[in-house]
Amino acid sequence: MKNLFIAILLCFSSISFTQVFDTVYLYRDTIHQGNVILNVVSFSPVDSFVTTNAVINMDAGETLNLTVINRDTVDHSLVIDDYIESNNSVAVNDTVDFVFQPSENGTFRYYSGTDQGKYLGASGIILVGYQNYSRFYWNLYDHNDTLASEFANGTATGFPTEYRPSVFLINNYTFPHTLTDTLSYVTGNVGDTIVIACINSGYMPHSLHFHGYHVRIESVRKRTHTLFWDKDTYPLIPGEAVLFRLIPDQEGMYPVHDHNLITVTNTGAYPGGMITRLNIQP
Amino acid sequence: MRRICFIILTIFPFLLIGQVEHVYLQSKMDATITLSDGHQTNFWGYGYQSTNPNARVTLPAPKLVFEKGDSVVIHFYNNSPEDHTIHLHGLDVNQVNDGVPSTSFAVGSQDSVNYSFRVSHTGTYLYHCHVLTSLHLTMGMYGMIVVTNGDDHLYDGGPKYNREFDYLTSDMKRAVNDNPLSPGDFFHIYADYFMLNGKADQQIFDDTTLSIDYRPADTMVFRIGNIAYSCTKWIFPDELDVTVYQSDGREVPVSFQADTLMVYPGERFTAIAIPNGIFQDTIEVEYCNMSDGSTDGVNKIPIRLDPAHLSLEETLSEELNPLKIFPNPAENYFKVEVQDDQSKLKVVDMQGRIIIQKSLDKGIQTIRTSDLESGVYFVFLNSRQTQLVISK
Ligand SMILES: [Cu+2]
Ligand SMILES: [Cu+2]
Repeated sequence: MKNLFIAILLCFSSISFTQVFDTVYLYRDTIHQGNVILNVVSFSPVDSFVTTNAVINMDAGETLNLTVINRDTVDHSLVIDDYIESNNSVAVNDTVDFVFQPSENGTFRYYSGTDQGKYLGASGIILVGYQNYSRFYWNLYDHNDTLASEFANGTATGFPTEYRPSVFLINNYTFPHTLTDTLSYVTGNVGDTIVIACINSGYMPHSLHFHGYHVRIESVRKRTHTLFWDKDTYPLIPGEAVLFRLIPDQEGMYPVHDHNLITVTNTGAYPGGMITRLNIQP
Repeated sequence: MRRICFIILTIFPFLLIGQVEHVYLQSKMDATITLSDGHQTNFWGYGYQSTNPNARVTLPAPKLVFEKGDSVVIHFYNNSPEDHTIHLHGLDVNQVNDGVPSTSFAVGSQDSVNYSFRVSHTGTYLYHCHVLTSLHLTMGMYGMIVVTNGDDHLYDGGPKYNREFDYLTSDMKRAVNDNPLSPGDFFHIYADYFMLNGKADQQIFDDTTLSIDYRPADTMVFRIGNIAYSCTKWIFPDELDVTVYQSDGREVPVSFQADTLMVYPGERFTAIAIPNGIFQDTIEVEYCNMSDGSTDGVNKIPIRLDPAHLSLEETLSEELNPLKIFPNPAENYFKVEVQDDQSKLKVVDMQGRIIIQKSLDKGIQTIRTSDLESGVYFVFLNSRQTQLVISK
């Protein structure tokens, strides 16, 4: 009798986890922005190619059932560091379901763990919790345009030890196109609590500098000793996922950019690349 | 647009509270620097304004030191043929004073402007030009800003210090400086000269503001900023206890000991360094390529006991009449052989404080050290002395 009672309790507790369902589609295409031409593979929230990898939002305590549908020409996999290992495959035209039950809030990164996925930018943001705040998303990415086309057409022989990137993007946009991307271009008012979910999907660290404000590191996956630091310049190593919390104490239009100044260019032209803005009204 | 900014600056000269500090800077584009290998190249930089037309700009620019709470006016004269600005990196100034041409204003050739702001947090900051930044930074337009607490504390309630060493790392691609009119593609600025306050290699050993002669009682503050295209990895000797207290002008939530410290482009750290023994070594600064992680350059900062205190070290290495104690390293006690009655024994810590003082009679005597913390001490017996390591 007692055991039956516990069994019923367990049933209830298991269904009390809210399940959320999401579907992403792998597509490959070429980004054309000014003089930038870049081959990418992207997780799309709809059944066609979109520029920015899908952003997935979940409430604290929810369990994500993520369906991955592969419309690309090569096999992929789905990885979330510490949660879903790379020993899976999403074959061409296949549909595979994954379960992600995070044990904490903050920013996570999902990505394809195959070479074609890793080296063509199939990597997106999951934000757990913070759904009542003003939210923005920065998916940082870098590549050498020639190397990316070699990966896309299968002639690349591996990732080079002497990497020389030429294209630097936020949500797969280069400055000034970043200023039209509502996911990343931060708008708000003095006193708002703004959260920015930021991942590094690229192959090099990106040292983001905020003009005008310091931000608090609200969550961090890799360089965990920096949790709750207040920073105006924050380096994200490859694969990093952080949540910045910004409470603006003054109005103004301020740039945010990688302080490694080769990255504020588009195939060599200044200004470009990894620059966006904070637009804070009174 | 520029005129509007001037008007705003004139009407609202900022809330000038506390001490008002005025700094008079100019920029020039006709300077040259001799690199550590003897090669001469061009740089653009900031220097103090002067009635002397030959007044020089420096690489890096003058270090600006303010006190927390100061209101600051930087009077900036662009004494050069092209646009420049001053971006006050990390000071969170208002938009018009931010020094970014597209969101603030550019300062044209031969123009004079004021940058007004207030420094509200102690810490280590930077200033640099934000015009065509990928070029103007490798050309040398940067300097450090230090905001002190106005006393010998790092910040209110923070650690005390008695000496300060400020290190700004930077780098340059010499071909760009040699010929700034054709800099080539900006994504190809891979540095080949790596500097610490504008110096490299032997120049650092020869510069008494960079190399460290410590005294046993010193508590040193290291202010470290990186304005390079590379990230820097600082490797401290074992005999130097380095504790990081601040980053980017804010206290870290929990101060931490660092054997190594990565400083990425634009980051700053403020740390306290205390020698835990008598040693001669170097602090190594590796310059890492941001694109592929390779180590492209190294600088070394020599650190040694101040020669004025060398007599102590010489005495310690004196073989003629050494003071023998055992065990050493010791934990709760050590023994010493005393040759005369009423000998005076002293145990002194690295800060020069007398921790134990005793009069001892002839024979093998035991000295209790259970109250001593781990570390290096000096033991004096009459005129003889030695070094004692307490290890717990
Ligand atoms: Cu300039
Ligand atoms: Cu800066």
